[in-house]
Amino acid sequence: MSKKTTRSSKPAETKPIPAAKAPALRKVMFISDELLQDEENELTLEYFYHPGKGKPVLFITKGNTELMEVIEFAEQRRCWLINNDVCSDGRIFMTTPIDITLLALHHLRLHCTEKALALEDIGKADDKSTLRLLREFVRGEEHLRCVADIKNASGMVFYKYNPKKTMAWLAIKTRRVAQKLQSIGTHCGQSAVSQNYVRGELEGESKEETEMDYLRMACDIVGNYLDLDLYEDLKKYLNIADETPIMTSTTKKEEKAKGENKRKSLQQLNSNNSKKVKLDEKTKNAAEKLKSSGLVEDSPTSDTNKPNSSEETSPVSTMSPNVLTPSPIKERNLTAKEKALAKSAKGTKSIASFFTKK
Amino acid sequence: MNVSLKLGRNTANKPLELHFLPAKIFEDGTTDVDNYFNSYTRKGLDGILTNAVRGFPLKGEILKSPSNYRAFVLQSSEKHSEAKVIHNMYISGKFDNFTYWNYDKVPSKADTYKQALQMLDISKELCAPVLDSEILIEIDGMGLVIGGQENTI
Repeated sequence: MSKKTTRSSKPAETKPIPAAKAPALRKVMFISDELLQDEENELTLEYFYHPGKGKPVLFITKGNTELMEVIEFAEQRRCWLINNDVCSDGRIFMTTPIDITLLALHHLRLHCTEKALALEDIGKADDKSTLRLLREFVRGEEHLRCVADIKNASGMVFYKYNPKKTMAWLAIKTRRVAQKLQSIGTHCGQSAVSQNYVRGELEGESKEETEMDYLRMACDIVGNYLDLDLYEDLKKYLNIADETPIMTSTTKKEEKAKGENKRKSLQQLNSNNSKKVKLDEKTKNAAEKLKSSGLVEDSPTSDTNKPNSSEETSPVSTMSPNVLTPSPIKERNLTAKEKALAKSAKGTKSIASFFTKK
Repeated sequence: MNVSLKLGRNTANKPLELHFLPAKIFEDGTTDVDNYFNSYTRKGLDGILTNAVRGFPLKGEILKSPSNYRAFVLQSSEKHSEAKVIHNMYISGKFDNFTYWNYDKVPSKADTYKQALQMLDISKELCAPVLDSEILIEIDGMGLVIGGQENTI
C-alpha cells in the first residue's frame, strides 16, 4: 500500500520542466519570383517614405537596383501552424511591384516646383533613406520623364516638376487600373457588400454608373500612393463625384410621402404630449399631496398642508370623462395603495428627509 | 533599421506543412499537430476539409501560393530592438501549398485573403510603364477641356 499523501507530507517531486527555448520569431512571406532570379543574392528590408501614408514604410530591395513594396495581409485573429510549431503572428507579407516614380513624385513636388534641381540635390541632407532612394533607385530620365521637365545643361541633368504632365500620367494610370478591376470582376459600388451576392439589375439602370464606381475605386487605389492634395486634384480632373446614397425616381417619391406622414405623426405626437402633460400635472399634484399626508414628517416643501381625505378624491373628480387612457385608473389604484402605505408608514421618516440640506 | 534576408541556397528540404487557422493563439511553441489536429481532418463530398479547434468547427481547403511568387517562412532569432543594427532573417523553410481554414464558413471567393490576392495583380497594372505619346495625347485632351485655366498651371 502506498503512503497516502497529505498536506503535511512533502509534495511529490515533479519532473523538471526543460527551460523553454526562446521562441523564434517567424514570419510567413510571399516573395516575388523577380527578386529570386539570383539564388545567391541577398534581399534587404528597408524603410522609405510612403507618400500616401505619410510615414516610412517597409520595402524590400535587391542590391541597389530593384525595389518592391511589402504589403501585409493582417486579418484579425489568425495564426499559423507550421509543421509542429505554432506561430502566433497570423500575418502574410507579400512583395508587390511599385512604380518608383510614385515614390519620387512626393520629393519632386516638395523641392522642384519652383526651380529645377539635379537628382543629387533633391532631399534634405539628413534624410538618408530618401537620398538613397533618389540616388540609387531612381534612374533619372527613365523614372522622371513622365512627371517632370528634363533640362540638360553643361553635362548635368536638371528636373523640374510639371503638374500637367503628372496629372495626365496619373489619369492614364487610373484608367488602366479601372479596366483591370473590371476584368478581374471586382465588386465595387454601392451594392458591393459581399462577393457572394450580386445586385440584380433594376430597370433602366445605366451601366455608366458602374463604370464610375470602377473609376472611383481605381482613383482610391492610385491615391494610396499620392499626397492628399494631389489625390483631390486627380479626383477633380477625372470628374469623380462623391458617393451619394442611391436615389432613384421611385425612392424619391417614397421619401416625400414618408415626410408627409412624418409630419402627420408628429402632429399626433404633439397632441399626445399635450394630453400627457395634463396628466403629468395631475400626477404631480397627487405626489405633492402624498408628501403632505401623514407619510412625511419633515417635508422640505411644506407649502401645501391639505388634509388627506378630501384631496385624494379630488384628482379623480377633476379628471375629464373624455380622456380614456389607463392613467386615471392607475391613479385610483395608486391612491388606494398610497392610502395603505400612508397608514402603515405613519410615524416613520420619509426618505426625502435624508436628503435635506443641513 | 534594416533587416537582411539571407536566402542562401534552397536545399532540398521537405516543404513545410502549413495551416492558416481562423483563431489567434497567443503563444509560440511546439505542439503535436499531427496527433491533435491533422488526424481529425475529414474530407467532405464537395472537397471541403472539415476539422475543429477547441470545439469550434473549421472548414478548409488547400490553396497554392500565388503564381509568380514563392512562399517562405522566415525566422529571426533576435527580437526587434531599438538599436539600429542590421539584423538577419533566415529561411526556415518553404512551402507550395497551405491549408486555409475558415471558422464555420465554406471557403469562397468572398474571403478577405482571396480579395487581398487581387491586389497583387492590381499593383502590377499600376506599375506598367506609360508611353510619352499617351501623355501627349492626354495633355492635348486637357487643353480642350480646361481651356482658360491653363494659365494657372
